[in-house]
Amino acid sequence: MSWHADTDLFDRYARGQVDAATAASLESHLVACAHCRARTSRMVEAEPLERIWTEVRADVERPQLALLERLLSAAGLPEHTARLVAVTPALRAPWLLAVAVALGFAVLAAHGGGGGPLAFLILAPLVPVGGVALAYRNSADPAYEIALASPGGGFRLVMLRAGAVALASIAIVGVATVLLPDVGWTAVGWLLPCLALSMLTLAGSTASASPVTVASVLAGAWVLGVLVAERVAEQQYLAFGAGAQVLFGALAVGAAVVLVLRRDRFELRTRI
Amino acid sequence: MGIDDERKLEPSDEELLRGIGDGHTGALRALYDRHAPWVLLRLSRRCSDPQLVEEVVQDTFVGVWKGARRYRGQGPVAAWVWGIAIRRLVDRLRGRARLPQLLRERGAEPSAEDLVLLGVEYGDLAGAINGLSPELRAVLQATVLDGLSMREAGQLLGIPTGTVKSRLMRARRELREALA
Repeated sequence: MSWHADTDLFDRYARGQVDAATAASLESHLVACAHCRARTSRMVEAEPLERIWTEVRADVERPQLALLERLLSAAGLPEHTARLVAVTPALRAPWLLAVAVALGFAVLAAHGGGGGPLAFLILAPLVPVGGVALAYRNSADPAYEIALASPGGGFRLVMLRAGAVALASIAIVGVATVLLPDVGWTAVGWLLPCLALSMLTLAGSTASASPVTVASVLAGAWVLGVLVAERVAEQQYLAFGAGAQVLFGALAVGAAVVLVLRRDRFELRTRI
Repeated sequence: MGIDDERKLEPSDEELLRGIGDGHTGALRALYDRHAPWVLLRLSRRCSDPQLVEEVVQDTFVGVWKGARRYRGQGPVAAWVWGIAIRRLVDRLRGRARLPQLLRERGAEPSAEDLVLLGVEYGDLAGAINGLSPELRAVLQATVLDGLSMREAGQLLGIPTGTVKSRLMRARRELREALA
């Protein structure tokens, strides 16, 4: 480029003392001319430029949040809460994948085998229970020590994580439910037992047993109970019928009450 | 040989953008040093709040950092950077109470030298542009010079899109008449 703006013109431009047409022509020239662009750096004070750069660098060097954390933040959760939820072991991809695979087989069995959706209905409520049991005070948790030391930890932390895990699990199971062969409302019969078992797991963990032990015992009782009911009762899917649903609803509420009453126990326990 | 050495010392804007795309903050710093001053100056002519201008410059280079891979060699890097800057300004101003002096003119009369610089050979283009009312000129500047859409220009100036359209038409008509 042979033409370059003179210094006097630049000065007046920087001070806002040129008319619109001149400014327009100078601005068009600046886009095309690296030489004149370089000269503008002398028109601008170094101090604000350094200040802005510090901010820019802080912005670009901030660690990228994980996808889950960004989703949770976008959903309105504060950043620190999103992080607490995101580090929940049971929310990790391998765990969710294993759950999805197990449910997938149960759905396949419901379509092919003679048992119908029973296997699925037995398995479905145990998914969130397993997740809830693993959601806190677990040696697989990288934030375990931090959780122990956190002043606001305890109850709130457990509820936060258990809630997140339960929601994620229920979403997966919900998708699987759609794939079941048509058995009417029985297909969603797992929902209340799942809620009851999860709450019982949490309530049971306020005693001295570890959540994993409590969950294992409850899971065993659940599987045994359903199988026995299928054998003994004349009605199919008794455990998922109206009467049983009321019972599980009541159990869930009762467990929730116990949980709230004994919430301090989460603060006192130090080891699983 | 000398030229080759110089090229190695001074990477082009395009090379810097590739470096930024690969995550090198050093390349961002180099591009910032080259482009932040004129972007700051140009934004200052469009917004009278220095604090806001600084924020927009910051937004712009964070945007460059995130969007460097989207640059596909379409036009000069400087034009691409300005495209980000003016849109960030629009973003920041959206929803704010707009001041009429946002696009202020502290202008003096154009000197003969200015007119020569403009390279105006066909009629008095500079005179015609300067003869426009500030409202018409602002619309012309936002759409023609800054490359904003009519909707974005409306957001920048705090007027409805329809008004941008009608003012642009009036500005064109007045320019045509002045140059006829």
